[in-house]
Amino acid sequence: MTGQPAPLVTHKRLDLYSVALGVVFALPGIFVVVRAAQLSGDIGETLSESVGPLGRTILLASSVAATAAVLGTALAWMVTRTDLPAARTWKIVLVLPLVLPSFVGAAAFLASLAPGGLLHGLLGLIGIDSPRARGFWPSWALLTMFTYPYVLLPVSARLETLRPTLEESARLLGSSAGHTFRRVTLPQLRSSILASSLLVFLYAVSEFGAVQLLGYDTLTRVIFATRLADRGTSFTSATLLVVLALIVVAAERRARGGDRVDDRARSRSTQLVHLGTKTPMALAFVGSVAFFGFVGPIVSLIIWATRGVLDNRINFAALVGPAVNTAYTGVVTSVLAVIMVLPLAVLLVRHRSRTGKAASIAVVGGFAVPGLVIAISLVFWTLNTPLLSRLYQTWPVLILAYVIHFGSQALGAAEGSVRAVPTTLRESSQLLEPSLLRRILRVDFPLMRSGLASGGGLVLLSTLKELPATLLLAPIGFSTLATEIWGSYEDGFYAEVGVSALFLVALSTLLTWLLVLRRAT
Amino acid sequence: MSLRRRSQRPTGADSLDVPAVQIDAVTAGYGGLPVLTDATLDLQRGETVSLLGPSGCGKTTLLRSIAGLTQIASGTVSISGKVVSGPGVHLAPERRHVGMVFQDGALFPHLTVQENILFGLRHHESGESRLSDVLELTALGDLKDRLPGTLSGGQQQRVALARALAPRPRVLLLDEPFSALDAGLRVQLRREVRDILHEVGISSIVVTHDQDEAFAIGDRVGVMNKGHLLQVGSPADLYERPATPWVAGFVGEANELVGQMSNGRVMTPIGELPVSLDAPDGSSVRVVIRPEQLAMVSGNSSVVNSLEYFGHDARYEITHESVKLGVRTSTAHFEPGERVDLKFVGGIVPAWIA
Amino acid sequence: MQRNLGPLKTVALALFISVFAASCGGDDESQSVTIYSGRTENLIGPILEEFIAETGIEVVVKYGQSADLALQLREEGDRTPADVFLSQSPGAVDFLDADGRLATLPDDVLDLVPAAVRDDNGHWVGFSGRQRVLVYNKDLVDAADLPASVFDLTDDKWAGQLGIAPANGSFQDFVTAMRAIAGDADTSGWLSDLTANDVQSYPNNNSIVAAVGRGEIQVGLVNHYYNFRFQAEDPDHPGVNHQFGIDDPGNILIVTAAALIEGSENTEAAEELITWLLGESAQRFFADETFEYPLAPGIEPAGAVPPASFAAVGGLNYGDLGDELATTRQLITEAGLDG
Repeated sequence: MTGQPAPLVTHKRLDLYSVALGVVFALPGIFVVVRAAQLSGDIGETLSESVGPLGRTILLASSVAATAAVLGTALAWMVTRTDLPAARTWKIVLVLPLVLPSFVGAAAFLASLAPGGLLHGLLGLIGIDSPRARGFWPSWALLTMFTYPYVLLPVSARLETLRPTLEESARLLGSSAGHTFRRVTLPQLRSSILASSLLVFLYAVSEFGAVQLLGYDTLTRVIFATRLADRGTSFTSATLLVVLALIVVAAERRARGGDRVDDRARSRSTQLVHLGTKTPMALAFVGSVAFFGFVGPIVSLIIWATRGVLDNRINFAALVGPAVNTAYTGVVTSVLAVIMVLPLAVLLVRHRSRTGKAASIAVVGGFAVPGLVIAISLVFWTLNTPLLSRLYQTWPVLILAYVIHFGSQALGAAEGSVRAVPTTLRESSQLLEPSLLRRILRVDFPLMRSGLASGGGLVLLSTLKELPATLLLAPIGFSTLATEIWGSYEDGFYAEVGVSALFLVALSTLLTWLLVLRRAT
Repeated sequence: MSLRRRSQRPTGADSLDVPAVQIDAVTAGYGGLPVLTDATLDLQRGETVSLLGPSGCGKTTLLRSIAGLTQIASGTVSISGKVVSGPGVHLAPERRHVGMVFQDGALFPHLTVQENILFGLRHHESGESRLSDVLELTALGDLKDRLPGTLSGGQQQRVALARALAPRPRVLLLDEPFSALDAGLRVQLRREVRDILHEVGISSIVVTHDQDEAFAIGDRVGVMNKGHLLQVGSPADLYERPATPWVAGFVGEANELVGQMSNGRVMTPIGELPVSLDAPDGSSVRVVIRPEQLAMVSGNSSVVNSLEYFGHDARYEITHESVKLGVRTSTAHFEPGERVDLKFVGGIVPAWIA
Repeated sequence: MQRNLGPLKTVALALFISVFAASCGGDDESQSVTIYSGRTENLIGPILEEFIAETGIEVVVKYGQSADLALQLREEGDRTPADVFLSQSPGAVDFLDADGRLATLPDDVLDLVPAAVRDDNGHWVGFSGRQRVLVYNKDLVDAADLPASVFDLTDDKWAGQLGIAPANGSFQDFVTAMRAIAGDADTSGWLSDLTANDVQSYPNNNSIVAAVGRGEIQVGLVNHYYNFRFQAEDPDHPGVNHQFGIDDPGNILIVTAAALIEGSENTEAAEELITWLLGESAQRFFADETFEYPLAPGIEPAGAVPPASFAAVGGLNYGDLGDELATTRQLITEAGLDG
């Protein structure tokens, strides 16, 4: 080897990798479309049945995406940029609404609005009768509470890597904190917010349990309700959903195109905005979000759990195995997901490749496919792929399903992380250290850590509570906390639901703190 | 010219005899550790002061304390006679009328040059004409529609300067503004900046760790180390009458010798030196001799070790009785290995009781 | 550096272990049955434990929603590891039967239950029953005001106060039964009237009972046994089950079904298991522990469970429930419900 060290990973190789990755992530979508064609569901009839639910899906998903973007960004700013008391604790607490499976989170939330529930009591104190939680508005509010952490985590990470001098310059040029945020900070956060509210949109599109519980009829209901009786309609509706997702993802990719984002590494921590007399107001805001999104439901879980614990009905030892399964499966999935999408992120950010763009649409769009459909599609693909069929209902295939379902959550953060490594720094490190692996570990990785941790964290939290794929694809006898919760919930064993769900909350909190927040700072 | 006239504020608080910035016994730090201790400094109107010191000495903290980007622990900071930081007072940065140029330029990457400059002119009535004035002043007219990402480092810093000057701040703070540039550009830009500062007549503080830069740009220079502001004075003051041996060494090459007081003079290995130090005979004294205060003639007491030739002069390293000394001269010429005698040719040397 | 590589090693190791484990399991000679169970572990686990202890046959179970497992079995085709499918409702078994995925059970197994609660072709057998009831909140509704027939729920009195689960299998089975008894026209009219009466949709029985308990709605159409669970969980739960009048279609029984998967290599053990589910011990468990109706003759329901007989909804063949699912769903959606 003489002269300049040749880059070990070329553009071309990255392109090839991305094509492969895109195909893997597109497997559920391909399955859905192929099945829909085979079953030749009557498109006209499906459309006539689906047009109402489809409209409602779009309305709900866009409203939720918009409010989650506002709420998540506001909270991210407060915990990273102000002297909010106990900001570190809030950072964990505010992420926690993400940890409960939506069916149990929604049930616990409803229970907390009912007589005997925490929120009902609190609202009663100020003379408000708990509203009847049915229809659009409650679905919108509840999904917003469940999804704003998808925005909070990446936007916080972006804020933490942003050069503080930009905001300081604006302040010194006479801008108030608010104006600075709008004119200087927000444009820098734009791509993060866009990418994460897209995830929220797709989440809302694929959501079934919570929305159904609140009596709001969306496209997923059609998919679920017809899955046995009328498979043609079921798969055609799922195809509609996939098409909707692809259109929205492609539009987001386009909107992001012209972004001018600062890519210089920051050198110093930021001077926090002094809240002063506004501190109580800020605490009330953050506190009420935590209350509605987390504390209310958690207290319901505690009430359920207490009944069982008092009756001595709970077998705690039986939860240890599922908890261990949940933990290592979640950790492995999140690490793997980050590693798998990182090369694609490099391709997207540094080479702006067309192939990469197409692959990224497949990766992100997959998030809109309901978990059950992903699981069924992987049953098909695993059994019909020669070597893979031996691995059917084994742990690796389960991990693959998780990665396909949640990899999109790591991609946005990974792109942000790649952007956080300045070109000049990369070039100079290339001259100093010929080994790509060591360069990545010593130069790129430390700079990308905060972003990657936030992306991995989202994947982790989603995996910890995943249900449909776990039920269908896990090795027989392999149970997780989510399957335990489901098993108890299905037949009204609420004490067990409470205990298992609290276990899941505790485990998620611990892992989030250990692996995400502690590493990110 | 017109710029200078308009920049003067005829209000009472801004009258000429009130310093632009008064820093009085300011202590500041992060998490209880003082980074800046008991600093006191007045910046006169229209004056440029350089703050010079090694990295981590607290000079940037002092600058940020003035800007309101750092909360001070004690002391007061006043701008145009009004206390902006002090016990129970912390005026928000946006209300201090302070301009700042950062090391990295900190240009808003999503805004064009022109939009960057207009950013601080939102509330100014004559924003557009001010914009063209500033563009002209900094010779940026051709670049006004460009995005920062497409500009060179030097151009970016000129935009940063234009942006900071546009709203007519009461004081301009520059934090290592040239350190990200390469050497040639650095000298050129610092001259341009000095000329612009003088033309506008603005009061300014420039933080740097480069002694040449500090001397070239500052009417006065403040030297800082380990959180303390050790001395403030004109470049000549600092060079000729340093307050401590450390300052002496930091602002230029210094040969440090130890000798004994005798009749108002110091007896050193290279001879008797005149000092302005009131100390009893026999006491031990440290003196600092600049290389140009020494001359060489052919002789025997010392040996020439090495030679660096600069054209206008040359620097020699001499060993005299096992002490290494630097000598700078344009008159003599010796080769390494030659034996010479040293001669003191300067005036009074600074001295401290050891 | 070592620390950075930690997670990678874990992944590699974990992948290796599970591949290894996958490739060398299941080659011993002892008998074993693999079950896909739509009943949750709470409702079947203890019985399976007993079966294992009694017979020495190994049992492995995959739990899930009956409908999802049916979909999975259909995608798996003849490559399925499953020997037995246990479903919460006849709908999911019939879905598989239509695809030819179910084997015929021997007569000595089928004969353990009355003919009405098994498949005509012998492809599945019912092993417990759940009665459709109206659950009501006793704090909000006076028992005297409760309707005598499910058809009375279209009364103004229940406007916005009735909860149903139109997308749920047990509701759809119930509607199929209603069609068999009252005819398609009346059933369809009833469904439309419910829509006009602002009926509230929920995803499943469980959430209806919870909503009634919360007072969100006053009454709900559910399977009887959920309310017993809620009362066991919370003695203050205000839900009470109400039976409609004799012979009312609102009172039908929904059976849970067991089926043998076509192509199973463990038929003998699988049949032994299904026989066990219809034996006295299991039937007593379904009666006393899960508050269901035992289907084997001679076993009585638990004391708290009101008596019901299959004769009460005479003429209904449970074997038809699944076949009619598509038409039933069509009626439900045509009525404007989210089925």
